[in-house]
Amino acid sequence: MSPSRESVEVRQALERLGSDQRNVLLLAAVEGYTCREISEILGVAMGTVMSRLSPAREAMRELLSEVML
Amino acid sequence: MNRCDGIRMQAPLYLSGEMDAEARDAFAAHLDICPGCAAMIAEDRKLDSALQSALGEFVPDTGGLEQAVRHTISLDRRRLHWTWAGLIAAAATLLIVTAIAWEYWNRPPRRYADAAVDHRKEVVEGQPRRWRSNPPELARLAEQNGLQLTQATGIAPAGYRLERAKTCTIGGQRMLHLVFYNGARRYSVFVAPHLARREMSQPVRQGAERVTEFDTGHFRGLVVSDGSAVECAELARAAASQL
Repeated sequence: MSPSRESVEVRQALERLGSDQRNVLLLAAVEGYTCREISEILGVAMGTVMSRLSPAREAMRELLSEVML
Repeated sequence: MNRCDGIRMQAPLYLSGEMDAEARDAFAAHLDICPGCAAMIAEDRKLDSALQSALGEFVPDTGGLEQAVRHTISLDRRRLHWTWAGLIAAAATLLIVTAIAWEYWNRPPRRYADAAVDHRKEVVEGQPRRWRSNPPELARLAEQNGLQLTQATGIAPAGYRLERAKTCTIGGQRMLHLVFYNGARRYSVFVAPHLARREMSQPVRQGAERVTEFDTGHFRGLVVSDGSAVECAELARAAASQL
């Protein structure tokens, strides 16, 4: 079974993010961790998590605007 | 910084359910009057769902297997020129491929294994996780997953109480992991909103645990227990009857 076109494009968009943004996005969106939990997991401040997460979502929204939004 | 900039900065806390009631109400009130921010939050939720789906799809890598089989067959052809030995080797290869395919198609879904592993690591072995256990947090977590707290607490049979809960990813889907305890034994229920036909699977053994899946038409769930197949099926029936 091959992955859907949307899944392929989501993965490709994810690969275009920097690793810092990609990591917080995956922990929040896929693993369901809160910002506080992510800050503890990564050992960074809450503000850092939020300042990575918002631009990560914004970048993904732009990259995927034609596919899913 | 205008109000919309503040909303964008606070959006991660809103989406993860970390705001206190006052901040959450103020945030929601702004969404009611600001179509731009409301659209942004809706798109973020859609994005999170798309990420869960994209990373949850299982793509078996059969390329290596196919190449190995083709290589074996081609070697047999060159060396034995369709002698009986060559035919036997091809038949054996076909048998192995059939056995692998049979195993692949008949194995339980990945979510069964995920649920059993989560239960074993997080409940049986007690690996540290961020659980919610006080009623307000449990209620909020349940609500985020489409459940009332009374529904979540009511799915266990008499004698069991809801001990703790957290969200997790099972088979690529975000689910609510509920742990029930009767003073001696614990079992897990993984549940998520789902629209499908009503059904319940037979208990399937996953390592030391048994997993039974149920679907009420509104929720899909997995029950993981170290009890017998009959006990596991009864726990799933009890959960399904309350959702």
